[in-house]
Amino acid sequence: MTSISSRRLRKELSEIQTEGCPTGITLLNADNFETWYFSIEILGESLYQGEVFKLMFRFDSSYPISAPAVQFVVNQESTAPVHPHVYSNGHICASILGTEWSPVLSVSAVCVTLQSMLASCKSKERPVDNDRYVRYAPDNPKKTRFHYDDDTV
Amino acid sequence: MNNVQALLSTNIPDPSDFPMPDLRQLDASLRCTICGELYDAPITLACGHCFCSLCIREHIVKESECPSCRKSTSEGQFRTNPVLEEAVSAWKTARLTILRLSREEQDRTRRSQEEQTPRRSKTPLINGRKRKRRISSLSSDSDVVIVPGPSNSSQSVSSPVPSKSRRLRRQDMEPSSDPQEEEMVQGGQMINCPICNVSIVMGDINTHLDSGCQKNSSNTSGAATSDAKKQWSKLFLKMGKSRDNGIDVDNATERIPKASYDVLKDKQVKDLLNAHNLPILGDRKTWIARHQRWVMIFNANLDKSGSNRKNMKELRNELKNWEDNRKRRHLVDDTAIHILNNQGEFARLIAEARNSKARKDSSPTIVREHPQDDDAVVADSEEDDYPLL
Repeated sequence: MTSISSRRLRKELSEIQTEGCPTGITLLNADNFETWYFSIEILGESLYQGEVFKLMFRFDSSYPISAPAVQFVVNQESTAPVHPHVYSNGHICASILGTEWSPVLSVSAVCVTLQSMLASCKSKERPVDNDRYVRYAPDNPKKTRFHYDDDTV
Repeated sequence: MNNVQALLSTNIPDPSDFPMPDLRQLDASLRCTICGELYDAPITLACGHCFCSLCIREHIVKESECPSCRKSTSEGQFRTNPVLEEAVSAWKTARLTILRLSREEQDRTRRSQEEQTPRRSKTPLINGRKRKRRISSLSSDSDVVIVPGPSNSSQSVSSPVPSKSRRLRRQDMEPSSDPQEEEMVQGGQMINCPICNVSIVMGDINTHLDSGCQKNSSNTSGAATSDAKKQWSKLFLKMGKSRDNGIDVDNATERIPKASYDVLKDKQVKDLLNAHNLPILGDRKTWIARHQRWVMIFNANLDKSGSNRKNMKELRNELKNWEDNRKRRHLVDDTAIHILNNQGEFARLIAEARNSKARKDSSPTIVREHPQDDDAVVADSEEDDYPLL
C-alpha cells in the first residue's frame, strides 16, 4: 500500500523529469518523499539579479490536502533573500503556503509564485518584526500563524 | 527508505507515460487535480469543477471552497458525474492499447529516421511488414492521423489545448442555478442541515438537530422503520445484534449523515461504530477519527455508479489500511539511525531524568514507578505531526 501523498509526489516528480522545471528553478534533490530541495533564481530585471537561493519543501502524509512546509535554506552556503516577506531564518510569509493553499497547487506552482514574489519586490528589506520572530520561531514554518496583510508584493 | 526506493521503481500510471504531448494532455484531463489519479467516483461542484469524491470530501473538511476556483461550496452541492465516470473507465481500458501503439509509433519514427541516415537495410523484412500493417490500421480506424516524422511533436504542441475548451464549457454551465435551491416542499423551503448537510424542510430543522441528525423528516416512514428495527435489536440484544445490523449496512444506499461528536457521549460514539460493525479499539479520539473516515469512505463509495461500488468488506479493509498508515507514520524505520540522529536529545533527557531522580531520592515520599511510561510516550508523539528533522 502506498499513500496518496507519495503517489502524488511521485507523479509531480515524473512531470518535473519529463517536462522540466519552470525557468530559473532547478531540482537539487528529491531522494525521498519527505524533503525536496530546489534552487531558485530570478531571471530578468529584478533586485535579486545574480543571486541564487535554495528552497526546502517538507511534505507530510496529508499532502496535498494540507500545504507543504516551504522555506529558504539558511546555512554556510546559502541565505534567505532580503525581502519584506522573508525572515532571516528562511521562513516565508505567503498566504499560498498557509490559508490560501489549495490541493490543486503543486511544488512547481509554489516555486513560480515565490519567484514572482521576489521578482516584484521594490525594496530589499527584512520584515519589520524579523528579530522578534526569528528568536521564537518554530523549526517548522507551518506552525507559525502568519498574518497576511499586504497583497501588493 | 526502502519504501521510497520501491515506490520510485514501481511504475505509477501518469500522463508522462505518453510520448506525445496531445495524449499526455488527454490523460491529464481525465485525472483529479488533487490526487493526480484517474477520477474515482467523480463529483461535480456547482462551479463545474470536478474531483474524486474522496479527495473533495477530505478537502471540504478543511476548507469549504472549490480547490480550483475558490468558490464556496458544500457537500449539499455535490453531484455525481456518471458520464465522466464511464468515460474514465473506458479510457482506463483503452489507455493500455493507446500507450502500446504510441510507443510503437515512436519507435517506428525513430527507426525510420535512423534508416534515412546512410546506414540502411539492417532491419529484417518481417519487421517491415508488421509496420506496414500497423500504419494502415491506424490511419483507417480513426480520424486522428498521427503524422510520422520529426514534425510530430511540434505540431501537437501548437494544436488547440483541451483545457481552453473545458473552461468554455464550464462557463456555459454556470447560469444554470442549483436545483436544490429551487426545491420547495409544502412544509416550506428545503434547507441543508448545517451539521450533516442532508436537505430538510425548514420547519423540521429543529427536531432534526435535536435528534442528533437522526430524524429525517422528508422520509419519516423510513426513519420510523429503522427506529422500530433499533427497538427490536435492543430487545434482542443478546441474540447477535451486530449481525442483524451488518446485513442492513451491506445493502445500504443512503449516505451516512455527519455526526456532531462533541454532543455525543462515549457510548453514543461507540454505538455509531457498532452500527457499521467497526472495531471499537482505542480511545475516544481514535473512535471519532475512525468514524469520520468511515463516513467519508462509505459516502464516497455511494458516489460511484452501482456496478463500480465496493462491498463493505473492501471498504472496511480500506479503513484498516488508512489507520495502519496513520500509525506507521509515527514509527521509526531504522532504529540505529534514529538513535544517532537524536543522540543529543536523548542525552539531555537522560541527564534530566537523573537529576530529577536524585531530587526524588532525597524526598522519598514522591517516589513512584511508571511501568507503562513507554505507551504514554507513543501516544504523545501522535500529537506532533512534525518530528524533529
